[in-house]
Amino acid sequence: MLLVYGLTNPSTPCAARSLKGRLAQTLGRWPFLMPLALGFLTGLNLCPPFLLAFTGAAWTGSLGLTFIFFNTLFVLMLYTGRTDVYRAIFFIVIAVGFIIFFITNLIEVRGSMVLKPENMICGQAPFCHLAIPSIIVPAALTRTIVFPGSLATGFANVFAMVVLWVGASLTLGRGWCSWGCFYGGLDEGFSRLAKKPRLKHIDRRWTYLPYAVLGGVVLVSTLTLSPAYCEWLCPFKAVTEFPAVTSFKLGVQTAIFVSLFVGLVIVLPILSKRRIQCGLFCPLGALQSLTNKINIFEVRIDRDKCVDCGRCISLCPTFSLDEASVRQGRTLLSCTRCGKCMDHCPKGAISYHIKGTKLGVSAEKARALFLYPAFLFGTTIGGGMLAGAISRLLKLVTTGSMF
Amino acid sequence: MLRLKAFLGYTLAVLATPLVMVTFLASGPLPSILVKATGLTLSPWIDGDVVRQAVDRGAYQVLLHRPVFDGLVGERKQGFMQIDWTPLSALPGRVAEEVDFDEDGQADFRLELDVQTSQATLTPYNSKAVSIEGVYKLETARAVRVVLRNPRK
Repeated sequence: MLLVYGLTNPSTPCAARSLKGRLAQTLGRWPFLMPLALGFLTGLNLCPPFLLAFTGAAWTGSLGLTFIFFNTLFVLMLYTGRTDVYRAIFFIVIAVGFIIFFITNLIEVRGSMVLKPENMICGQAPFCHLAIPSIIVPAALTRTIVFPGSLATGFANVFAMVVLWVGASLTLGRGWCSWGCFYGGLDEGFSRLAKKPRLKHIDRRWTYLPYAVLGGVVLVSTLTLSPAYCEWLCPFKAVTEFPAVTSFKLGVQTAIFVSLFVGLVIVLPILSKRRIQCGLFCPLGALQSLTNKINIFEVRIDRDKCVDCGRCISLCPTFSLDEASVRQGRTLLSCTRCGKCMDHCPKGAISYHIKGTKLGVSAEKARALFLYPAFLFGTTIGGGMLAGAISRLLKLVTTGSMF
Repeated sequence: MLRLKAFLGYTLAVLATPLVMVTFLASGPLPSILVKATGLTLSPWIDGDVVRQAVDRGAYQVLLHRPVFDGLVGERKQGFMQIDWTPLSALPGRVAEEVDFDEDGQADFRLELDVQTSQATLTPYNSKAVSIEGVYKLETARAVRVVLRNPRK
């Protein structure tokens, strides 16, 4: 795919350019082959959620729509040189698609969004990546997984998600939070609703909160041998599944879920135009920040081009830039590689960069090398769910029911 | 040195795309291998731990799970024991069982369950049996969890 990109984008000094030949001529003559070729990479793969949705979604044409949607966005991303605007569309649609797909499946299988105690005893709760900080230390100390899900079989089992998380951490670092996380798009979507921020000044000290939440979640989970984040703090319980309110404790927990969702995912992102849940609360985001250290990609600022206008600092959705970091030509550890700063930098001073290479020499090459795995990861994790969601919506339109 | 670092950087960057593909392909078969390799299991606080004894009652069986007191370090003062009646189709309207959870030769509590209404009654014979945590309608069984005091604490 890198070869295809390099051959079809003449402004790009791609690593594979020297291999120009018949393929270049062919693609140059029939550029529509590129999206088709990309389709194989961004859609036709063997990940379980995709195959699961494939069986139910193929007949409605939703699969085709998903292919077209993904490939159009990716081609636009490559040809226009703009990253964030197309990534955001992709990211938000994946999140909405996930919610539709997940809730309708729950209702179809269980009859409601309620997670019954019986489901938990039998290990039937789908595992999501946000629970990872809760399970790591208890697993190391007690050799047990403190989450009521299946360890290795069925949809969204614990180890499958851990494998995906490790893969994402190695390839994207905290890029996971802007390319792979199927909750992040909700936060992002609401942060883009208002034209101007009403809440302009947020104290930088709040950026330490995710690390405090991470520490608290790990500690409480270890001491109680239970998934503390899922039980008490997850805002996304409000739009996925939650325990039936059968006691005062469960009532309090549900009230917390709803309050956090309304506050951190809807209201504060609208007011601040920032991703508050992702940037100032999510414990997995904090843990994921550490993986930026071992990841080969990073975002760098060319100090020769930078005019210190501060636009990137004021726009960064996850508070990953400040004056000091800009002076050093780097982002903070929490950078999610969303590309917003790059798209809005008036001097084009910010770019993706590969560690170990010379700054500014091959920014386009670094961008391409990051976008392929990032987009591939996002489409693979979200493709099946989006196809499933489109299928449900088409069913709703044609039959009046989503089921 | 700079050229070597750049070469390694580009190599790792190029490998990121195939690594993503391998990650997704591996997310199917790898979990089972990892579970076996690590020996990790579901927490007993969630699944009720292993069945310690199966009591045959003719048409149905009573499965007595190992009492769970596991803590982070050592054991907790309070835990629970899960008792299953199975198969569901063979259960009479009302079932009862006397349980000796600490295996000292004397029953610690008697548990009665109305299968239709899922109402359970606990009759403690000593202070070790505290209360009923919950009654659960499983696919092929009815399960009851009884809160217990740890006799070793």
